[in-house]
Amino acid sequence: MALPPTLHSLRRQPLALLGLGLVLGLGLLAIAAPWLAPHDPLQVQLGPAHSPPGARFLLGTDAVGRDCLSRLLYGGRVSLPLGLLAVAVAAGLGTTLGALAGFFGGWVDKGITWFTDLFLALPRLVLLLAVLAVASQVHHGRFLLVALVLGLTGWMPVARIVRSQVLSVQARPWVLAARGLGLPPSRILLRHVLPWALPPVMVHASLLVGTTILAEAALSFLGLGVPQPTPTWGNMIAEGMRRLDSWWLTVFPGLAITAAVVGFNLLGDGLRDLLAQPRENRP
Amino acid sequence: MSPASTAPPLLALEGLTVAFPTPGGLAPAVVDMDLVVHPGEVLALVGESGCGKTATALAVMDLLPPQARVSGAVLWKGQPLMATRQRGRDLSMVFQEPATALNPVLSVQTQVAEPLAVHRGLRGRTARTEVLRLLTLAGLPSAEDLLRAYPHQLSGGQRQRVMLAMALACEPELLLADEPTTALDASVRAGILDTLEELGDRLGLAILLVSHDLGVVERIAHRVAVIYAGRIVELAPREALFSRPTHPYTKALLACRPDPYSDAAPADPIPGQPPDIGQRPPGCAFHPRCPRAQASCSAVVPTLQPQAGAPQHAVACPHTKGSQP
Amino acid sequence: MIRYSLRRLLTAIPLVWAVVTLCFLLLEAAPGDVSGTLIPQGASVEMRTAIMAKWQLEAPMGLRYLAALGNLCTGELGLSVVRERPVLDLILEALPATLALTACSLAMMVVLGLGIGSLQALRRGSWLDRGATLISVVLHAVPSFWLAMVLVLGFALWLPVLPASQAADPMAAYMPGWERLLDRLAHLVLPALALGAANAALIARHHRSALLEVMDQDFIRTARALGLGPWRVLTRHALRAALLPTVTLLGLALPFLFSGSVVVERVFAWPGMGTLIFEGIEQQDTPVVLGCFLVYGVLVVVGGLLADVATAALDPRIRLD
Repeated sequence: MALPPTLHSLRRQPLALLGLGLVLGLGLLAIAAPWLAPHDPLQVQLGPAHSPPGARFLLGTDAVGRDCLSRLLYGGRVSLPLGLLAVAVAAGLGTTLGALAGFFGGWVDKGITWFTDLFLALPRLVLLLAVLAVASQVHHGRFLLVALVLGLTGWMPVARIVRSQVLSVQARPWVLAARGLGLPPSRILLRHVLPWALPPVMVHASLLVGTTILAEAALSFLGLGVPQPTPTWGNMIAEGMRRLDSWWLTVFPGLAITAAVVGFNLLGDGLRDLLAQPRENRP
Repeated sequence: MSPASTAPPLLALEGLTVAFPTPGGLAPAVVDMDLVVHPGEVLALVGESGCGKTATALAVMDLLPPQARVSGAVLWKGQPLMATRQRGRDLSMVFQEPATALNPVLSVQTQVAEPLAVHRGLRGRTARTEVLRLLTLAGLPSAEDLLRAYPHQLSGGQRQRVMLAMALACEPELLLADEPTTALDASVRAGILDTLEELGDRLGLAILLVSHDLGVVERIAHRVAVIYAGRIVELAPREALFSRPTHPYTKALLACRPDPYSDAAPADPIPGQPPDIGQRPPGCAFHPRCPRAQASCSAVVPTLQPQAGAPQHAVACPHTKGSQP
Repeated sequence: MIRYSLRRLLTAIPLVWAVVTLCFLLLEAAPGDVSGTLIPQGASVEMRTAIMAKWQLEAPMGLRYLAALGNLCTGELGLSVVRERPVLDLILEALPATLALTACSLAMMVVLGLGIGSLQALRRGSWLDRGATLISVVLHAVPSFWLAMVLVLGFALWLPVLPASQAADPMAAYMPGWERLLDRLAHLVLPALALGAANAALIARHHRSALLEVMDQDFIRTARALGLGPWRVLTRHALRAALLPTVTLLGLALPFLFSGSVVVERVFAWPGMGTLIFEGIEQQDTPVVLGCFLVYGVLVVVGGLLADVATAALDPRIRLD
């Protein structure tokens, strides 16, 4: 059984700390963007268009003269929260379904499992299709839409994890005792069973943020994400594709994405290693 | 009967020491061991778990893990042994757990034929015939149906014999057998031991047998070396050891064997535990558990000395000369 | 094994059907339809009515669904609304390019993944090992399309070694056979690398730990005790036992390869299924999209089946039933 790890115990895993540092660092940069950005990210100036990184525009400018550094910072305000929101949706949905399946068993379980397997079998392409189909005509609320769709296609592994955890916890003595005391099932599920399912979900969620950020980048790249002129890391790269030799348009947003995903992956791996240790070894 | 010991020794260990690095420093598993195996003889290394007998065998074959530190000399017919070149040819080994020692994804035929291909260049039908001959030699006659089987489809005894067949592929002169029967059912053990004995007689194969089971040793060994904490404490021909054990450890070992023919309860086990490899007591390693311990025992490491009147029988204890068994 | 394969393929049918249905529903859910592409600006009402009737664009959804399913069951998989050609023909034109890309990616994943993973296991703890782990952590975090663009920047623009786009030189038809083949291969390198790099990193990582685990096993010690050389021990004994997780991973990677190819094909203007599907979606050309998904579904199922069969072939302890 896995106890929830504390920040304190993360100390033992240097790579995880690095991941946490990366994530927090990028998050802080995004939050502080309005104060840190040297220029207005939306301001169009045709004069200095396509200028390489230099003194005035530290990371260069794009096709209409907008400062890339500012756009990069502001882009974090879209890409990061979108990933987190999507994972929240996925984790919430997955936990609910997995818990119901594991706890009630029988037809509930069979139905939910069939449903989960179906979604798992759909290639990611359907995801793209889903967003494109509904989103191509919709221009407002894209942020929420993309987050929702990404969440709705990422819940399956969470459901599986939660289901198997719930199944194994159900046989434990304290759950049987709670049942014997006649406590209502909802209370048993919420207070006695679910807390034990959460740590593996945390691990998976951390890794999921990474893949979600990548998926959002791909969608933005294809023109399906949050539309211009709002900068996201994905659509900045899409712009970069039109003029590949303005390499700064491509390279920097990609590095930002990579840093974010590496951060979340390291964090997730560290959490996983931590949970895999027997209790006695954890500080 | 033990063959004449006048032939030059096949294998000679001189001052062999094996140590493993531990957090507390280098811990010796085998200390300064001198040992000789003659052609065609069965020499048994006996001792409790952790006494260093397996490490000795692995050291001879150069199969120790890379962090082990080995010093001393291992000689084959008087020349330094190049284990990595001579493995499988002049000397080979069978291991304790046949279930894990065979490759699970290769068939019996493939595995037994492999040393034949590599060392003797046999392939195709000649190899197949030879594989059948080796399996028969190992006690699995008419083994055609077994050829295409996989290890998980065989019984423990069959697997052990397959391993034996592989080890015999190049007609080695020395076979090291590390607890060959320990993992097998009691009913199967006798068969394997008989096969080993036969191989010794028919092929003139020398066997270095490692075991903690005195019953096994008593059955097929010609000479016995008793090992405690990495050192030989007694070395004697079989009858001499079992009828006139001299070292206090040997005596205690024999005394606490349950006697299948008597109703008397077995004697008390030896008090205390064998030392961990990092924590050998000073002087004679056995002295904390020895009923005859004296002050000098903790100061001086006793050396293996032949006994007066019985030069074949050596003991590493200065307090047993002329004493009653 | 034949029976098992057939059974697997049979159970895949409801799955593929579900995928196709879901696709259809999503396409229907999108506002607008293919008429946006078909009907030119300023068309007269009669033309508009005629076009809508021809393609039954105003029919109730149920009917259209059945018609779509019916179309799929014909040999041609229906007719593309925009191009007025059988969907099957379009697919057959585009499929080879995608298959070539996917196959090349797979080959790269296997060779790089196994090679680097093995090296890492054999030189555990060395700088090579740690460096490779670092690189693979990063490769795993990199968006594939971005990697594609960086590769193009690096190897096609700055060091003009490899071509930046397309599957073949426009003059290819006029080249002698040998040169044509080389040209094709040159065009394959960057896209295959972009597509397969992340998965290669994953395979290297898993193969490393699988190989390390296997090297610790008793039967490796037996092989060494028999005097088999280290190369033989590695290739004939260790690798065979360690290949299992890689084969499983390859089977799981297949769907991702197919969907990842959509983005990579965009970057490289690769004339494959990804481009076909994307255009079909943009134009809301339902038959094309459904046909493509059918093919994708079948490919994924077949891929998974091949992976299972390969696993069983590698490990005789596994019984398929």
